[in-house]
Amino acid sequence: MKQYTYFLLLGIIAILEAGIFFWSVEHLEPLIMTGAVIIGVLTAWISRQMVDDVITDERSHLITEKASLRTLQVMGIVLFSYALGGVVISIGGEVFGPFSYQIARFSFLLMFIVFLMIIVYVLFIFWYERKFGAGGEDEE
Amino acid sequence: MHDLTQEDLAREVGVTRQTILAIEKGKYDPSLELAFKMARRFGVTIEDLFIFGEQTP
Repeated sequence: MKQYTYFLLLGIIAILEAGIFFWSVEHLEPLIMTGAVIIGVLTAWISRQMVDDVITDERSHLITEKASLRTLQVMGIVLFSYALGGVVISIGGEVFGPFSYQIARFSFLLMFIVFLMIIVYVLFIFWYERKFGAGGEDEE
Repeated sequence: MHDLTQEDLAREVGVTRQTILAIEKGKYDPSLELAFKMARRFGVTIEDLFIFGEQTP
């Protein structure tokens, strides 16, 4: 498959996903939307394997790695600080500006997601430490 | 000299043309594997193809 065909296919998948989203909202079918996203991602992934041209290489991997790490750092700080502020309001049980007590409680869930993200990050660090041989005993 | 386009070289060593362009501009340092592939393609050693310049921190 040519690279152009692959990008065309991605465009078609995106349009279909948007169409399914509006249909799901209208008919209140969240499972259809969730399934459509999974099928869409799988289709895109399979199509990518069929492309003959080089789409990604070591440079694009490096760019993705750096961008991912920076995104994780920035979003981690933003979400954590926001969640922590919400938790303070939540524990205080008061109305604070535009935040109500109920809305602030959402911050507990957000805080949990942030911690989950950190745990997943640490697990991947361990995984790659092992993969690239940094762990274990030194050879004499 | 080798009558080779960036596109051809990229295809032969298995990277994108943008990567070859970035290496030429000095914006990207290739991996050892890619450096070997490129050197082998031109029939020279890595030292002939690349100059090591230490970056100041």
